[in-house]
Amino acid sequence: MTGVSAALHTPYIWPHVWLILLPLLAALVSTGLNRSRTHFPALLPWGQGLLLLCWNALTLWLWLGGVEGGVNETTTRITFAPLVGPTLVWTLLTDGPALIMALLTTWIGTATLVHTGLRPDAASRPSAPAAFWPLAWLLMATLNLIWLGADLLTLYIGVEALGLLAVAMIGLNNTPGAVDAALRYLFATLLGSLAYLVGAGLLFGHYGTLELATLAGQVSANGATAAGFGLMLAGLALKAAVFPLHGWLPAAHASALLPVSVLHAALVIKASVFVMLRHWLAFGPAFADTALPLLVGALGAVAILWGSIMALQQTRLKLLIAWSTIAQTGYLLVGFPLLLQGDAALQQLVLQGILYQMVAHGLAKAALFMTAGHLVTATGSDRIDQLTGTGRHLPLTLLTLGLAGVSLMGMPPSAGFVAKWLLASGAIGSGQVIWLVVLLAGGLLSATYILRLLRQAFREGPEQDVFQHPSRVEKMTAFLLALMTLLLGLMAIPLLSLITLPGGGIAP
Amino acid sequence: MMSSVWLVAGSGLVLIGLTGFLLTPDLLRRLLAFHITGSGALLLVLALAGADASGDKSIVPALLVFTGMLVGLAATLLALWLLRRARQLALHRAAHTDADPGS
Repeated sequence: MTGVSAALHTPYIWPHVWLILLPLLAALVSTGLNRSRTHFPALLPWGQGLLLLCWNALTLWLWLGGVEGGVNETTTRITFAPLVGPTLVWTLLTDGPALIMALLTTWIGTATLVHTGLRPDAASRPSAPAAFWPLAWLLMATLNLIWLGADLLTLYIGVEALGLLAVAMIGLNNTPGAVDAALRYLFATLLGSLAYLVGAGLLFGHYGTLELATLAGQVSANGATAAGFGLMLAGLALKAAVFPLHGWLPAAHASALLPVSVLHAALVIKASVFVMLRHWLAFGPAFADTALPLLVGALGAVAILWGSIMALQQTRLKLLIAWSTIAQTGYLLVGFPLLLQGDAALQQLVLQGILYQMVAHGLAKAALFMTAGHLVTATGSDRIDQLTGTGRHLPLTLLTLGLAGVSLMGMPPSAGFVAKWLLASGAIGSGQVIWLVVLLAGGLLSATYILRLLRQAFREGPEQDVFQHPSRVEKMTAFLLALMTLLLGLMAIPLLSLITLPGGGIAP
Repeated sequence: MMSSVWLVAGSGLVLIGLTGFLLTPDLLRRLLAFHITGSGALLLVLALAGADASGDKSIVPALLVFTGMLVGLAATLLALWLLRRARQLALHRAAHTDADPGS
């Protein structure tokens, strides 16, 4: 029916498409593995392990290829020529930001799946129902689709599918709280995508194209563009839980199954911000002289302060981490106005800072949520004041918490520090010192709530001396993620060198 | 102008739907209100994207609307599944707390 011919722009075409196809295939295989689970229980961990291995090899190869060959942008055009009707050309773009996010997805996805099912006692003590596996792989495929998406229709399909998958995964947990949170989240994400859809329609009516690169070349600040851009930004902000549209997030993160919270906080939230960033780079320059950049930056600043203050007041561990996510998303938005200031070199620093913050926060937050799961297993409670005495019994878990915490605070030498340093350089370079104050205050506040956790954990108390230990695989996975935030703080160049300004994107 | 009729109809539906969405706490009604908003939004997309600057007919608005409709269907199924689970869990809990399995 459909003739598919691919125009080869570079030798790298098929690997990029496989970033989406491989997780899709893995979702199918996972369904099969689930069916055979009763007869061949060993098949699930081995099968998943093999899939994860292939996926890691693919992204690693793309990364090394990108670094060595200096290929920073690869465009893949796939032409659909149906027997009737016009020919459709579907464009996928793999640039530095897309590659970095694909790497982050691989790392966090691998860690989460290993943490969930590839431990010796996974069969006797499952931490997720069977439906988790195919859903998780579909989520990875959708995420990669979003990273590579180069037009509004692809991005719309991506964020839409991502929202629905995320809701379904939060609804997997068998508690009334989780189902209520999933419903609230569903309505938020649906409203957000309606706004995005109308915005996309408006822009198509005005410019006659949905390709971001073409739009970026034609864009001018008029009423229709402002309305379309505004609607899309607002819709995505609702999905990314940007202050003041964050109401649905704490309950959703706190009540979901542990691996779902990890994937959601580390990757799903990032996807909406990433799409915002793509639009910002295309349409933002036309609105650089309006109040819009200041508004977005101010919302980010308030999110940092408000999210951190709320995190300080929580008595439950997972709620504290959820509020911290709202605060850390604020850092990304603070970078947005800085992207439109100063010269191209400065803008590139800020872009690197925003993407590094996504990586740093993704890794640290995944480690932190896993650690929270271990502490809940150990103490049998989600309350922070029950952490007393865990420091002596779970040293590795607390070390993980500390390392991840250092990155969240933005202290050297961690990936979080590199990200905030780059953002701060952008703020100083363009003379906008006010954002620097916000960055510093946010760092202090996050230090306060992380240290509060650590202090409670290392306090000795008579209450409880029997702890249930999580398995070694679980502890090591979380530790390795936290260790990565440290390593990426010491060696930032391999990732940062991938990010250059998109061609014709910001340059005035 | 044909397109302005769709524009007015679409905006009207979106307004009605949003009002219902924000005013009702009942989740099933919210779902229905979302559908009214969604229909309005799809009309708006057709009206706005149809007025193509270049003038030639494109398949893109139809693709946007088609995706929107598919998403609406998937979202409805998901919402109904969650609503049913919420009901079952509530019944389950009531049965356990009251020690009265018949209720």
